[in-house]
Amino acid sequence: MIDLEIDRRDDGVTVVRPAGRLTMVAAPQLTAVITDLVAEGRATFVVDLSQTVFVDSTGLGALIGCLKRARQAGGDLRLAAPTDQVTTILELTNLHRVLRTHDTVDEAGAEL
Amino acid sequence: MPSSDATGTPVQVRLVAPALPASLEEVHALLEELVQRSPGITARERMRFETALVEVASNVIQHAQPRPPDEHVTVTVVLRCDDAALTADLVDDALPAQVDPAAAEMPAPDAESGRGLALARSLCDELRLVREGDGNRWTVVCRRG
Repeated sequence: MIDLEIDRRDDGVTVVRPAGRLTMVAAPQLTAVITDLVAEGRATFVVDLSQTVFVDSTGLGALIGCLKRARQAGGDLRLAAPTDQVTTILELTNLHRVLRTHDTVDEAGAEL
Repeated sequence: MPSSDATGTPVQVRLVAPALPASLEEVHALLEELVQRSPGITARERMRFETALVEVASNVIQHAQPRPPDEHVTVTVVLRCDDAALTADLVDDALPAQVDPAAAEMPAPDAESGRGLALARSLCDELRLVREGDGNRWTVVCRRG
């Protein structure tokens, strides 16, 4: 199980902060959380990766799925504070232009 | 030249586990044990090896089919660190794997799955899958130095 902190900000941006490893067990949990938040009416997200020590291709797939849900709801999704491991795999999978990253949550929020 | 353990002796750790999602945590713990016992491993070496290893382990967990009358697949994971390389061998007791890791291509950016083996291959120097006896043997090699 992964710990997923949610911060529903007044400016409409929702920050989701997974703690631990985003792999095959945790990926569906992230998708479920974002799906529920979209159903609540929230559509702009920052996934704060500062506490996410490891992401694999299943985690990337979930992030892509969450990005699609946000866009379908008229919003968007950005990543903040990725580790070297995440930055590396985003580049190797050609996802760095699709899953946009920022150094901090505030910088990501400013773009949304 | 990076060393293995404090005396330069190769380090090897082993795990036998069911090929179930919960076993992925044990694979990470096994890798952590290897790293703790091999102080010469750099952060970048660990990152490449751990990611490739987890992609292969996840592939076994998700796709390996038990040989009747077995109901579950068992996988033996051996990790090794020596001066030349970090090596992982994953041996299962499953039906023949239906995948060719050499042919794995990165799917389109909007794909929600199908990246694992292509990602593993881009991170390591060798990724092999062979049929061995009544099981499949995956080998991941990340060369060092």
